[in-house]
Amino acid sequence: MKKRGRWGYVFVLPAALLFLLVYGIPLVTVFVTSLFDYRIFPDRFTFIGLENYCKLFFQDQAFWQAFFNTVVWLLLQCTVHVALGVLIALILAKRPRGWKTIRVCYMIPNIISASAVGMIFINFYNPEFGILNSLLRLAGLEHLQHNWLYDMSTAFPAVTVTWLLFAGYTTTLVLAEILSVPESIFEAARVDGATGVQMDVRITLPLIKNIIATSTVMAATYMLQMFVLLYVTTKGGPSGLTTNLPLYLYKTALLENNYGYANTMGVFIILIGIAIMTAINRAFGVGKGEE
Amino acid sequence: MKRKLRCLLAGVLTGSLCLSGCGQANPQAEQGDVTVIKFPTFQVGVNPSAPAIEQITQRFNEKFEGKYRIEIEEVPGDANYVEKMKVLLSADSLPAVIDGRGYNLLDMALSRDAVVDLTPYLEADPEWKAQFDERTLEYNSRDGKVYSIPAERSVIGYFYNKELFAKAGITKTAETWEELFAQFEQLKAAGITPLSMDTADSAWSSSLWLGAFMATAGPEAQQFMDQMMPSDYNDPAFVEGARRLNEMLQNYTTDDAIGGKFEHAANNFLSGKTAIIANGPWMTGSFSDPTKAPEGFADKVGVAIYPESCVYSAPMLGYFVAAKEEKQIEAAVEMVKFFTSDEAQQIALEVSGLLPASQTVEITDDIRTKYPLTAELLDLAKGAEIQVNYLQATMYPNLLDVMSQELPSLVAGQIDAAEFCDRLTQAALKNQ
Amino acid sequence: MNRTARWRRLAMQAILYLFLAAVVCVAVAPIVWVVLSSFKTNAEILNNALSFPTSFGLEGYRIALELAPLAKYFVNSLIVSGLSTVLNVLVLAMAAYAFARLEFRGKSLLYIILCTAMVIPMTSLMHPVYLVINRLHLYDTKTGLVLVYAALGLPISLMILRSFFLTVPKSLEEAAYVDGAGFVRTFAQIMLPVAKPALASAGVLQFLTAWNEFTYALVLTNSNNARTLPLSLGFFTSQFSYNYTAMFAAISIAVLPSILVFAIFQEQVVNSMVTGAVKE
Repeated sequence: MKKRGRWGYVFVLPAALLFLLVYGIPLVTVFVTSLFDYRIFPDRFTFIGLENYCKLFFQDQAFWQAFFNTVVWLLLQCTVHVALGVLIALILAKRPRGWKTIRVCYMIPNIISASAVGMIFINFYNPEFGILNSLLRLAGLEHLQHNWLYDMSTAFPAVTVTWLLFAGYTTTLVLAEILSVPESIFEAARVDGATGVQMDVRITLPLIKNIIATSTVMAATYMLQMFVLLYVTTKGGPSGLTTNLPLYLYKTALLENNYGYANTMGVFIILIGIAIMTAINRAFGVGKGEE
Repeated sequence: MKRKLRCLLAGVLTGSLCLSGCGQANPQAEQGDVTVIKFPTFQVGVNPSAPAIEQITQRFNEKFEGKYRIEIEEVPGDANYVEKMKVLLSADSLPAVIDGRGYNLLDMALSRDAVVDLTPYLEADPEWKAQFDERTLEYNSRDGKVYSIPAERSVIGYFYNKELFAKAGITKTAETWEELFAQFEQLKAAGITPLSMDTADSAWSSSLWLGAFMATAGPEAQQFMDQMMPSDYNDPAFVEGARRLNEMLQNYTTDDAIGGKFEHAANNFLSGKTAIIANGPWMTGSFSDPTKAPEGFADKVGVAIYPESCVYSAPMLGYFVAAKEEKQIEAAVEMVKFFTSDEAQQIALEVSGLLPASQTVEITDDIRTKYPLTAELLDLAKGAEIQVNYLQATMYPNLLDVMSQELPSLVAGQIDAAEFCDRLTQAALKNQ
Repeated sequence: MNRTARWRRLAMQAILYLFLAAVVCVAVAPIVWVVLSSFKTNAEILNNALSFPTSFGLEGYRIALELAPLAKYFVNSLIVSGLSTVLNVLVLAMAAYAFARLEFRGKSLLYIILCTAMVIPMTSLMHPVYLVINRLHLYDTKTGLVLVYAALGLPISLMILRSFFLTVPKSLEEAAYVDGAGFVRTFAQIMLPVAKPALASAGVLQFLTAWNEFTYALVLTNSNNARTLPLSLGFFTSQFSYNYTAMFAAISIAVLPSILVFAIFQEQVVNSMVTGAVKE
């Protein structure tokens, strides 16, 4: 067996190359170039130490707005979104009529591409022929009509809705976990006279703690990467009200061509990512899992 | 065994590279003796100039068959086009020929030393050179060298729906801003939404009004309009312009103007929902396009220049060559020559109503009957006292997004006109 | 007492089903609306957004396909997603097998490094990845996208496959070795067939990731040769703004295949998602 060890390097090599190209080299680049004044119009590449970081933290209001939005969305996603997903899973676990169909339907928004979801919502919110304003008109609530995605007062919630309520992925995961719990455990509880809700709270929830933690981490990661839905719908507007860190990074890099500064944000996003994951795992007391 | 492994590894590492390698890394490729020029352009699809570009390309390919061939790459949406060109520029892999019209790509490309000096070619072909007047060539030159050649001149006023004007009792176009705003009120009173406006992408139509306010605010403000890449928008005249633009957006346009794209604004005008839209004569083609406008719509449209005798009339930046290899440069120059030739400009004028940059292209009676609006606009422009370039032609490209972002806030009252201008200034300063 | 309890239960049931109905409605209604609208005329859409189409003509679809090269984008998406899935699964099956079965210096360190890919928000690497791809002359090629997409699914596939190989009894391979088979052959002929379920799980996830990816497609492509379906909608909104029917048809074209595939393979998709999450 030992002599086959050298095959190890051969077999890992392609994966390592792939890693190097898409993660390794870019990671080093992000960290290094964040220390440079790196632009192309005019062509500039000069070492400036931590100047980008200082600018980011102390002078850039737009950055703090994007950061604030990112955090709010992240918290909403980790709470409302995950809770909704778990709640629906708990209901479906009781196998009401048509539960499988409901699960599939609820998954659909997660299956289709986010850019399509964005386009659907652009039309959904359209002030002239969108479904929302049409319904309001039908109900005689004309005064509640808005240009939802571009009105200062509604842009943020309107764009949030495009992802917040679609917890199909969480539901599917949690449901699978509940269904894999041996029936005998529930039987025992039932004998003890526990009712439906009590059982959910006392027995089921503790049993599925790990998968909820995983779902929360996934929700957080998802929000930290959120880009498409914003890019397709509001492009971060009006006035940066719906800009988050990835979108701000994209604009800094591609519209302002300030690559050093954009990559400074990249470093920041990576750091928050690591911090959040650690925090969530701590909060749920997830230890070293399987490994 | 070894062979198998090798196959496996080779398959993994290069398989995908070969299998999917349909795309070339070079934007230009040569096939046989034919030099292929890949030409990304936004003049495709529903863009009104698309049919003209298609025809000119076809002519070129016929004329130079066996020698050069243009392959059009579709990049719909001019904002997308600018974004993509910037990406390619940053990688020093620009296509051979770039359409620099409308946005400030030339200066960016020059800052990367990516542009071929066209002066020698122009000097070698006096007939070509004679097509363009001094001002046009100067506008396309940097440090005394001609870098780009235009095929088009920009003349922009606004269009109005005569039927709706009549319904509101308006008999002639406004000569002062007060008159224009009074007409808005008149239209509104008749139950007609006066204006088609937009804020998405680059807020094109709205920015035309903003520029017109600025251009008519005195000689200094007028000078500002012709300044390349200004970085200070905190000008009292500009602030006042923003304030009035806000007034228009708040009171005289459709619900979907905020957040709407230009095409939505156009759609509203074409369907007779609004009475006025600011745009250039390339739009006239749409008026008679049955897929866009109802039958007989073209006859209802009138054209006007802005109040205070103001019109956008300026030379435009044109095509420039960014090829690197000799063969590509040769082909690219040939293409630019053809695309800016009187023949091509005549086609563009006939097919899409594009105004020629060449002074030797004739506005025939045929064209006058085919494009009465274009001809009328040209006549009006000749008599205009104020002739300036439009805002977006001179502003830093990153400001397009800022306009689109901040206009909704301005309308919502979140920021005032001064703050709006300050944000433009801040964004412009980011380029330094 | 009994009666009130029954009423209460009935009421609870009603609320429950109302809630579930609302859930389904929120998830599906906008899509149904879009699909229905794709059959209406421009005027019908503008006049009454909530009406049903009066006829089921395919005019909108014809115009949509004419305005935007959706078919081409569709094929691009298929090629890019398919190849990246093959590449991803093959490369990571090899790596996962090595990590599960072999002993070599630096093994655990390598594994940990590869797994860090999990915690890196990929949007932060937009520009550097673009630089790398550009340096390799792969900007605006399907190949470039295939490489990047294959890497996006690297950590998940690696974890799924490694933990699967750990569960396979060693006796299987021992028998092969006794028969004189070499290492590579054992892997290719014994282990890969055994690992089919795990390969499928990893493959399905990878395919979905690639099929729906938007950000890198936006940053790394430029022409119709390499653009994928998710981009088409964003790019062609201006094209469609004169004709809402065509726009709704285009969205339907982008959405319906995914839903169809999901409806058919729902068990597999759900299984792989669960496997993927548990292995994290």
